[in-house]
Order: sequence, then C-alpha cells, then structure tokens
Amino acid sequence: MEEYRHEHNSTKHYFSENGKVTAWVPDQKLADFFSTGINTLTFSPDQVKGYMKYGFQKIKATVSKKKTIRHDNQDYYVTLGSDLFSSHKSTPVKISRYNDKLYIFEPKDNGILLAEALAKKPFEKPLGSLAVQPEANELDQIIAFLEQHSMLVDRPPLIETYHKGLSLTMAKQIFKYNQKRYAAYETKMRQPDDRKGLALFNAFVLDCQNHQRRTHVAPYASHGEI
Amino acid sequence: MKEDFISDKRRVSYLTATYNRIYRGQSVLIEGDFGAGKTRFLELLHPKKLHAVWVESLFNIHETLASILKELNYDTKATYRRTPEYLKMICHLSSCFIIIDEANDLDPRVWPYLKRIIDAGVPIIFAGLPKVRTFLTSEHPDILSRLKTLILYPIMVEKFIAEYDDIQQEAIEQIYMAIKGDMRKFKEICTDCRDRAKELNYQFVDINLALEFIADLPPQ
Repeated sequence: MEEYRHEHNSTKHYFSENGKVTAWVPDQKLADFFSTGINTLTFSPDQVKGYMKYGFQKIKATVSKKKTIRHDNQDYYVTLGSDLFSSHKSTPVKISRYNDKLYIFEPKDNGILLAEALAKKPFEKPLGSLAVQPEANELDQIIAFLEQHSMLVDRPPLIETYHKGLSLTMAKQIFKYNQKRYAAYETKMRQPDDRKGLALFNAFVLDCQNHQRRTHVAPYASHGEI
Repeated sequence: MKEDFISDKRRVSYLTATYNRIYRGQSVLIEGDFGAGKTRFLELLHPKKLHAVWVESLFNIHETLASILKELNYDTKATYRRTPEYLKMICHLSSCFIIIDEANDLDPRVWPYLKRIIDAGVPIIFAGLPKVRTFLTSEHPDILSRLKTLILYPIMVEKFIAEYDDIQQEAIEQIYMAIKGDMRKFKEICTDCRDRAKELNYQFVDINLALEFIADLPPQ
C-alpha cells in the first residue's frame, strides 16, 4: 500500500483540458500549493489524544446483563459507564480492543464512545504498544497506584468497589491511613511474592468496604429497620 | 442468644421484625444469596407462643398440606381428594407459623394455596434466593404485597474477628475475602484451618497457615 502510494504520488499523470494534454505529479502539485503560504490547520498530538480511542478497528459484541463482555476467549468487565447498560437484557454494541482494554461504542458505524471495559486478568504478553498511549482512566490510575505499592490487583473485586464509589483520592487516603497495617501484614507473611501481593490487596479491599460503609448517611435516608 | 449466633445488628433487627410480623399473623420473605445465612437465621426463630412448622418445599400441594397437619399431630394422608379439606383445616389453625426454606424450589402451582393460608392469618416465613422475589414480582405481585421482604447480607468481617479469638485477624480477613460472601464456606475453611493448626501444634491459626490453605482451594 505504502509502495503504491509512493509510486502514485511521485509519477506523472496525464489529463486533457480543452483538447490539450498536460502532465502533473501529485507530490509537486501539493508542495507548490503549500509553498503559496496557505493557512493550514495545525494541532498537537495532545489535543487529539482524546479521540485516539476511536482509531482502532471496531467489531460487534454484546454486553451481558452482568455487565461483562466475552471476546476472544477473554472475559472483560465494564468499568466506566456501566450504568448505561441494562441489567435485564444484554445490549448489542461495537467494541475495539487496545491490549487488555475494550472501548465500547454504540452499535452504529459512527457510534460514539459509551464505556470502557477491562480484562479479568492483565495479559501476560501485551499485544502491542503505541508511541502515544490512550488516556488512562481513574480505575487504571488506581490499579497503577496499588501495583506501585506491591499489591497484586484482583480486578473483579476492585471494579466492584470502584462501582460503589471508590476514587483515586479515596484509594490514596485509605492506603495512607492503613499503611502501618499493611506493613504489619508484610512482616507477618512468609509467602511467595504473588501470594503476599494478593493478601495485601485483599486487606485493602476490606478497608475500602469498611470506609464505604462508614460514609455518612442522612438520618432521613436510613429511616426504618437496618 | 444461641451458642454460635453472631449478634449482627442487622440480624437482630430482622429477628425483631419477624417476631412482630408473625405475632400479628402476617408473613415474611427472607431473601439472600446462597451462604448468606438464611437457614441459620430461620433456626434462630423460637417465638414463645407460636409453634414452628417446617415445610419441605419440593413436594406437591397435597403432600405439602398434609405434612403441615402431620407436624401438628393430625392424622392425615396425602391425597388429592382431601386437599380442599386440608386447606380449610390449615386456614383455621392458630398458635403456629409455617417456615418454608428453599422457597425457590416451590412448584408455581403451590403459591395460590399459600396465598389463601396467608390471607387466613396463618403466618408463613419464606426463605429463598433472590429469584423468589423476581418470580413473585412477575407472576404473583399480589402475594409479594402481602409479604415483608427482609434481605440478608453476609455477616461483616469485623463480627468474625471479634468472635473467633483462636484465628488471627489477618487470617480471618483473608479467608473472608476468599469465600466471596458464602458463609457456609467460611465456616468450613475456619474449621479446616483450626484442625490443621491443631495438627501442627499451633496455638492459633496465623496468616501464613490461612494463606497456604486458601491457595490450595480449587478455583471457583
């Protein structure tokens, strides 16, 4: 394709106008046009980074009632925008994949981006990496934060906690508040690293659940039997 | 109250709510996922003035009605011919309440009979998976409106930490996270860990023992 384009653009093409045959080379024509000092539209990669998610190949898929997608022998959990899908019947959508992440679009050719989904487990071998990465959402940042602190993230419970209202700031606060507890955990454990990481992560999820339970509820909202 | 009952605030409140309902002749639906502790909760019900009649949810209506009466020492034989008679007898019962565990297994044809019993003022306590409520919402909203629905959630980890003093807090937390809300499995793993600790002459179950045990569990 690249070769064909090069050949097409750099060779002469002939056309006739009023019975007069003239030749033109697309590359030269274009260069002449731009050299006339025409105003062109310029933008930096950062400005269009948000639209990057539209650039991958789209395929048909279905979001199940449980807000999961089965694609290419992998289970994906909807992370962002899960409230857009029905819990009574499955929803047809179009998806595009970037590594262990799915971008979910309306099921039309020009459908807009609705939601994002994340694979149950990170892929052992990433499929490919781009020079400019698509923007990381809040959940990605939480995962990265936890992994920095030697936790092995089990995605489904974290996604569940995220849907219940966990934010990056909250995650950082909870981690900071319980840091001593995690350190005590680490000193007590004599286990392989992955088991240690998962145990730390489990402790963190419990702390998040605890924190979310303690969130203040207005008296009028908690009226009646608990 | 009972030897291994965990006095969870929600459960205590549910217990009071259930007593209030059945003493007024009204019925209750207890909903919860498997292992949330529904059966355990039903076993805690011992009202002083009412006699509990446990009913097996798998049987046909004539078996069900006859078994209720049999529990109350009536001499009854389960036959279709006697079903109207038995239904009338049950509707006239007093000082008893009916417990139907595993209500999700009930034959759809049984529900209208139960509705007559509920209306006659004989309290019934149903316990079952969330699909019981889904079924009633779509098929018998009239029955659902007669029931007070109480949703049981798994017991909070803090309650277990306070209760189990021979298992370290970290170990309980890890077991709790591994069982994903199934209290039956929780109890089973705790018992197994205690046995292992005894074999190894440990004084208590520590986190390393629990983690090794969890790692050996089959994936769910």
